[in-house]
Amino acid sequence: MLGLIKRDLNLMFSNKQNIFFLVLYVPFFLFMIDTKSMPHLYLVILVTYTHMLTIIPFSYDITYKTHLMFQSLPIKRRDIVIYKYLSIFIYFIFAVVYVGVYMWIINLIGFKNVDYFNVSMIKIALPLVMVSLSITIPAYFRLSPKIAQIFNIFIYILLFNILSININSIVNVGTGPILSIFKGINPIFIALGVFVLSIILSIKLYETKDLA
Amino acid sequence: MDYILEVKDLTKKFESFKLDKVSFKLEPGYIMGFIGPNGAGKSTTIKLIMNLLKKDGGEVKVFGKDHIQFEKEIKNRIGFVYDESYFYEDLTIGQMKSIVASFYKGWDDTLFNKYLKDFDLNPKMKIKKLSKGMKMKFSLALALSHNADLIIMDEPTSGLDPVFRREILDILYNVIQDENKSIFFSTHITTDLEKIADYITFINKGKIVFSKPKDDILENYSVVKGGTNLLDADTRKEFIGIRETGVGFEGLVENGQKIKELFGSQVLIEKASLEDIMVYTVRG
Repeated sequence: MLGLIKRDLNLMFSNKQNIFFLVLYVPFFLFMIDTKSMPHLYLVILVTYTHMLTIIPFSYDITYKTHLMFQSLPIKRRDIVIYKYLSIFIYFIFAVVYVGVYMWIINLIGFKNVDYFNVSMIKIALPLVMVSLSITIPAYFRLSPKIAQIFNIFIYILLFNILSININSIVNVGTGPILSIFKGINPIFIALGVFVLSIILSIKLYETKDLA
Repeated sequence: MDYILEVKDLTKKFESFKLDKVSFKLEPGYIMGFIGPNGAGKSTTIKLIMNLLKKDGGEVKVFGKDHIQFEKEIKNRIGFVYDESYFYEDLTIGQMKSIVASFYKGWDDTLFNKYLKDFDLNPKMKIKKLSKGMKMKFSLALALSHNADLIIMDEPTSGLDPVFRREILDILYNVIQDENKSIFFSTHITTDLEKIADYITFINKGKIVFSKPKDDILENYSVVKGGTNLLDADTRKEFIGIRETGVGFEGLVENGQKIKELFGSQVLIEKASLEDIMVYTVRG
């Protein structure tokens, strides 16, 4: 797993597009979107960063077919899948720290008054990314890379819409029409259930996939 | 006999192609050339050995062990070089090495640095700045720096100029001086194999045509040249493949002695090259 972490971190900081994304995404949101119309901006940024950072390494496999080289190394497919899911937590912690420092600087400079650390939002963001990525990742482990990418865009747009339009259903689980069936259940348990099922599905899909 | 690589009845079906019961064996300390025209099934076979593709039937044993059950252990002892560069192009040679090295138990940094020096590669250079030949040398340096016992190469010399190709062949020749190491080398540039291979496995349309020691093949197969007047329905049957021109014919036979008895001095019999064998077998 050490090699996989090393790979992802090396890739994250050696690609200009990734650096642009990391640096410009926060100001893009802050200056393009009115914080009053989207009160949970901190949550949206946190969820987006974690979602994108987890998915970005797949894009290298699409461009350079690196999965062929990687899968020829002494590592089992099962381990690659498990790492991918565990990396969600690594990126989530990275996002909390990075976004926190970034927003704190923005507050300090006085550009905008925004959240830079909000425990209740973090508690909502974690199950959200767990669910969104649990839906997206199996597609990358089975479908052709381009179709998986389209699926990911679709899921992200859906997630973004839920966050920007129907946020109260998420914040107060049970009040929205869809989520009322989960009333009384801690969202983290729902997310954990989806997460575990998704890992099992991805292992099954990837272990039987032809890599060409 | 302990084989380093044993493939038995390996089968894989695609919509328009079938790898059909492919079998061959490679002993420790030898180089096996895997030849065949484009689309014959060479890369498919290698991908199946490396468990990149899922087989529909058959058995693959590497170092005497099942290649799926002991995948991690086996791949620790395999060095691989593919026909294309499947590296992260934004990384430098040093960064890519650092990622790859962390997967191997027996990684030897001193050996890797020696290869970089021999191949004139700068570890600070980005992979996207390397030429095809340099990428191939980098692949080779990675494959040889963890003390692998089996080197699997898929068309490593394709697209390289003769100078680069010769350099790579020399490196492989040095590797094989260690009697415990073996090389499985697919190519359609058969002249490369005439220089270094001990065994040749020939695949065509997904089926193995033969898997034999190179010297036996070059000794047994002959190219026969003569006038077209010698060809009739019966004599044609003796040839694996025939090419007819306005001035006569050229054909490949497996048993030159029989042809000598049949035609006597009316024909010219020459030793066949691997290319002759491949071309005549494929064309018929």
